[in-house]
Amino acid sequence: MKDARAIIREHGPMIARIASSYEASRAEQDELVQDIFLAVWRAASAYRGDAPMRAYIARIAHNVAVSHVRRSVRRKAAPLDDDHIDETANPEADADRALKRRRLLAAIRTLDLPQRQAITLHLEGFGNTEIADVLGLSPNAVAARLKRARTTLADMMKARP
Amino acid sequence: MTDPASDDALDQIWRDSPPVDIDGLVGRMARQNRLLRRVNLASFALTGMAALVLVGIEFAQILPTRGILGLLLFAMLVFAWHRYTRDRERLARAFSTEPAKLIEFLMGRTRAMIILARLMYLAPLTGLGAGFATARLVGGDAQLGASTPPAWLWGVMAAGLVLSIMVTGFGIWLARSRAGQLRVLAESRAALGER
Repeated sequence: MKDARAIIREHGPMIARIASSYEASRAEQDELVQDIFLAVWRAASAYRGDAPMRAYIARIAHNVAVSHVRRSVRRKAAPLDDDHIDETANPEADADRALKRRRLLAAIRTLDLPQRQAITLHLEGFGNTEIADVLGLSPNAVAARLKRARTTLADMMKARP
Repeated sequence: MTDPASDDALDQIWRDSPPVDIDGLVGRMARQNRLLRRVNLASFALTGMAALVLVGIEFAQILPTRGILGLLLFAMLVFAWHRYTRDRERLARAFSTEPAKLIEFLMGRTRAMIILARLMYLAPLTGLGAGFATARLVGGDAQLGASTPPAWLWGVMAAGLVLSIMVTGFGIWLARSRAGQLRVLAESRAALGER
C-alpha cells in the first residue's frame, strides 16, 4: 500500500465527501474524517492488493461512518444543520454552488443507510459491480437500491430547485 | 436547462465540495494530544506522591505527626481537584471558542476525554484513600504500635495501585493512539501543501 501521504492526497476529497453525506455538522464531519484517516492508516498493512485501492478505502470509510452513525444514535445528540456553515471564502461568488451542494447533501442524509451508501459510491464514480464488492451485495441489489435512491433524490432536488 | 436531478447534475454538485481543512484537523489533534499528556503527567505525579505518603507512613510510624499528614493529604486532594478543573477548562477552550461547537464537542469525544481525565485523578485518590486508612490504623488505638497494617489494608493498597496502573496505562494508550493519528494528518498537511 502507498504511504499515508499519497493516500490522503489522492483519496482525501472522497473521504471528506463521504463524511459529509453522513454528518451535517462540520465539527462532526471533521471527527469522522479524522477517524477514517486513522482507520485507513491502521488497515494499510492488511491491504493485499486484490481490490482497487479506491474501493478498499471507500469500504473502510463506509464502515467507519456506519459505526459513527450508530454511536451518534446511541448518544442521541441533536445534529446541527450545516445550513449555517459558510463553506466559501467568497459567498457571493459561490453561493449558488454551495446552496446546491447543501441541498444535495441534506437530501442524501434523508436516505436510509443502505441507499445512502449505494448512492455516495455511485456519485464517486464506482460501477454497480464495484459497489456490490464494497458493500458485499449482489449487483442486482445495488441496482435496486440505486434506483430507489435516485428517485428520492430527484423528487427532493426538483421540489427545491 | 439542465435537469437538476440528472446524474450529470448530481455528479457535478457532488464533486464540487469544499477542500479538506487538514490544517484545522492537525491543530485540533495536536491540542488534544498535549492536554492528554498533561493529564497523564499529573496522574503519574499524584500517584507517585500518594505512594510516597504510604511508604512514609509504613516506615516512619509517624504517630505524632498525624495532623501534618492529614494536611498534606488534604493539600494533595485540593491540588488534584484544581488540576482536574483547570484541565477540563483548557480542554473546552482548546477546541473552540464558539459555544455551538463547544457544545458539540462536549457531547462527543471531548466528553469521553473529560471522563478519562476524571478517572485518572480517581486513581491516585484511591491511593490517597489507602493512605488515610493506613494513617488511621497505624495511628489509631487499636493498631497503636503495630509494625505492619492488617492484610485487608494491603489488599486496598494493592487494588489502588493496580487501578492507578490500569487507568494511567489506558491514558498512555489513548495518547499514543492520538499521536499516530496526528502523524498521519501531519503527513497529509505536508502532502496537500497549502490545503
